[in-house]
Amino acid sequence: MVLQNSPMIAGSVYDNLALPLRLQGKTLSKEKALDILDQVGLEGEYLERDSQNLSGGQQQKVSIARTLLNQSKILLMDEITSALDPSSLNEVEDLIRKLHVQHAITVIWITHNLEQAKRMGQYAWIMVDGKLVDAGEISVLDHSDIPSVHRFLKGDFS
Amino acid sequence: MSTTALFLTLIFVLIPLVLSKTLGLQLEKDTIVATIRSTVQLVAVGFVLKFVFDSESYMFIFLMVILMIGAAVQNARKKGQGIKGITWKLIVTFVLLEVLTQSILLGFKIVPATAQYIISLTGMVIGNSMVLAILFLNRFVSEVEAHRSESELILSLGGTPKQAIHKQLMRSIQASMIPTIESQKTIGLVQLPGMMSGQIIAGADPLEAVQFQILVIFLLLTTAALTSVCLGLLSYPTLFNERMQMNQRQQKHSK
Repeated sequence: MVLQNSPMIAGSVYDNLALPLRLQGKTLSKEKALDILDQVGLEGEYLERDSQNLSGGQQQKVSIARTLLNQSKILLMDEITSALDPSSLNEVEDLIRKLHVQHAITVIWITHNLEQAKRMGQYAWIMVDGKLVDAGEISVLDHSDIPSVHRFLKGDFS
Repeated sequence: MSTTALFLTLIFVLIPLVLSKTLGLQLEKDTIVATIRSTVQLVAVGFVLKFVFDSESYMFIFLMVILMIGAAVQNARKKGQGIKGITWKLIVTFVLLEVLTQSILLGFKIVPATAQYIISLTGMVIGNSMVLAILFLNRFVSEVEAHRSESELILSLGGTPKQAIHKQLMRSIQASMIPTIESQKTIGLVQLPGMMSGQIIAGADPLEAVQFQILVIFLLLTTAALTSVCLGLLSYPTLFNERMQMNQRQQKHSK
């Protein structure tokens, strides 16, 4: 799971990457840490940097790398680009596309951004007031048969 | 101490009252209430203790212990209202502590099994345990809130609730134990403990008073460790639901 605000524990980027393995009583080798950094588009020099001094986009990439180290087959991402500037947003979207193909990971992406959902998604589940109201191919976002969903997607929240 | 001498001790109440009035601290009312309450409570306890000590009935000793634990729970629970079921957790902690310490004290015949010893030592153990519980709960509640995102991160990476709260729990246990350990380092040098001073003033041999004081400080080390650890281990699971998610923030009602 990748969280919205990409929280970092106090310490270096390596400390953050090592966290999921440390929770399982394992250690992360430097080679593997450098490899995962490379996969998310960060250079090796970032490994020893203080995680608190990274930009929002860089923290989100470290956060994604940290989650990938768990080798999960499903990645749940909770509005991971909502706090990013447009340039970082594009970088993260490209990264997720690449990882989806390279690692054959199923990505469940929670977003309020309909354009992003259309850009990134193949299937959509539409939730209104915490309830699942419609689901299907991504085109459901443009052609929902359910009036309340149609109104909601047009921005009518009444 | 004569009655006149007892009345003259009111000078030590007048000094803070005059200071409060002069400096505008607005503590006059609280000081007067505290003075009246402490006097009435101590006099009442004095009569109750005299009755219990004279009766030497285990039933009355038991009732006194229950009363002490009840009062300590009532006082400490206000600080842990963000923790579900805090009343029962405090009861379990205090009862466990009382049973363990009294079992060792009486089982090994360290002190005689009389009301005089059981009630006095229970008062010290439960009284200190209550203060430690309040220190622990204050710190734990604020630690949990301050590091919520770190805990949620650990859960999101597959960690267990215990792993998610481990650092906060350890920090809170340490913080609540440090005052006891630190005060014991300077005992006899900077401060003479109240119990020992009281015994010496009452005419006891200082070396005998020291022996009992050593018993008490060792007892309070166990009190400090057991209170924080027991309360911590009982409290942290209630911060999570059955899906290992952290419960939502609760409104704090503590004062």
